[in-house]
Amino acid sequence: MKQIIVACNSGLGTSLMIRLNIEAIMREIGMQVAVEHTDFTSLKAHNAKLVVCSAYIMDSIEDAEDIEIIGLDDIMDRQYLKDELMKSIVFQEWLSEIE
Amino acid sequence: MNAAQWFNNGVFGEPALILGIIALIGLLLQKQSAQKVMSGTIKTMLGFKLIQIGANETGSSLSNMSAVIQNSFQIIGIIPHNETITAMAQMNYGEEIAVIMLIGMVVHLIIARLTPIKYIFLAGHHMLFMSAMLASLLISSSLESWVTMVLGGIILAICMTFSPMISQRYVRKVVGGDQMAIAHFNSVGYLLSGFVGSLFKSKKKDVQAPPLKKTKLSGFFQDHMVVIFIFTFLLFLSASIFAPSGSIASMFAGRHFLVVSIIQATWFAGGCYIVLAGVRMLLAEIVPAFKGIADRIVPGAIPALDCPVLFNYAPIAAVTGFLLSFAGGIAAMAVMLQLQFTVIIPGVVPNFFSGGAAGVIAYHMGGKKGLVAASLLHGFVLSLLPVFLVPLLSNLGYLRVTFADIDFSVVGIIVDAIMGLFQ
Repeated sequence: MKQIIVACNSGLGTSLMIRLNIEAIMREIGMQVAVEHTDFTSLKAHNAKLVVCSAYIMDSIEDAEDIEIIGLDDIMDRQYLKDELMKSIVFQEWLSEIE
Repeated sequence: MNAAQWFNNGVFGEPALILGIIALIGLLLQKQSAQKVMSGTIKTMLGFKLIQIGANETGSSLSNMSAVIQNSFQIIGIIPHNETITAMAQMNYGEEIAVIMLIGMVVHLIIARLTPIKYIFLAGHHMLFMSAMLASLLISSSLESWVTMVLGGIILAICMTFSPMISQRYVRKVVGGDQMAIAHFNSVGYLLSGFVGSLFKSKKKDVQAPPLKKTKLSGFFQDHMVVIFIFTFLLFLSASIFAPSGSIASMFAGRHFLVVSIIQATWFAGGCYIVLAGVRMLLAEIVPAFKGIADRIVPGAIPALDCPVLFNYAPIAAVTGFLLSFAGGIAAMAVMLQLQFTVIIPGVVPNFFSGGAAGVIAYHMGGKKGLVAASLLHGFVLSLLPVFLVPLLSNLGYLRVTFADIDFSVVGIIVDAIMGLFQ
């Protein structure tokens, strides 16, 4: 199943807002993806391939080989978020699957 | 049983059900699939239950901690932590909190729709915290239950509208426009740090503060469960070291204080984690529904978001703001130790969020000097103010935890003073 995890410090505010933006983009391009928001502590338990977070906490996530992390400089800009997703390797794989 | 009784003992007697119904209506309004409607409603109710379970656990650990601190230092130590105090308040006033939050959201949307103040407060957890504070405060004034809820809801809505507006004066300078605002009940603190920062403004006009380089210094502090564990562990440990000999062993069935400190710290952090997961689950459907409705009925709305959005604008200032704010809190604690019996122990989590965002604002207004001065003062006020809030919430019982951010204390004191006029 395609899954995107959105993380922030407590998993309450910022991550939920990013999640809403991602869900809107997914509806726009017609892709079925489960988007969950979570806190920094639980991040690893999710086993996701693609993680989205703010650039501020991106540096603190330990690098893992099979996880791709997108760190956002601007949390509210949906077009920027879409561009960043389109650049992502995992996301491009998903796109090629539905085409 | 008549309809009113059925209503009171059935739906309104159970806050989990009220919140479930709010989520259900929200999901139906968004025309979600039947499966999503059902899972979302169930998860909202589950979230409420998780908060209660977490409240029990953090409560047990906290009462142990306050016993140890009182035994060693002869003071009452109070920890400011929004999630924990809200969970405690929900055990007694869950129904009032749920209804206040619902009324608050509706009135807030009406204000945004009808007046030129177009901020939409999107930090659901802070709505929940403020509802909990208002419920705990208003119940002590022995009003009728429905008056408490309606009044609480209206005050919450006013807070949700004015808090982003108050800080926007400085937030606008940081983010470079009115595309967003900050929804975090520390706006008086942001106003303070923005003002103090601007006193240090360089003489040259319109010189942007140079962007600071990024750092990994903050990495360790990002994982709040680890931070809460270490903080609680150190508190227990230092209290144990100063304890009269043998008293820790006699309090905890003969165990060594090092073991006790580790176990108690895991207990508290574990409880906090459950509460946090509960708050997240509770709001995961309610906030999107709220935003969806706001998008439809409030044209030109300015979304107000949780404070970490500011961190990206000056990451080092955020880290420095956090550390200096904490230092200011230690100073406030030292002052309180000299003056009285009740002492607020500066919390890591509120200083991380409020101190960090205040640091970003201060840095943008007044450069490095402004950052240092404003952060120290902000931390001092942040840790001092809850002292005045604690006695107002006495009908919650003798809890050793309270609300952290500045607006909770300020709103609590103002509302209490106004209520005093009418009694």
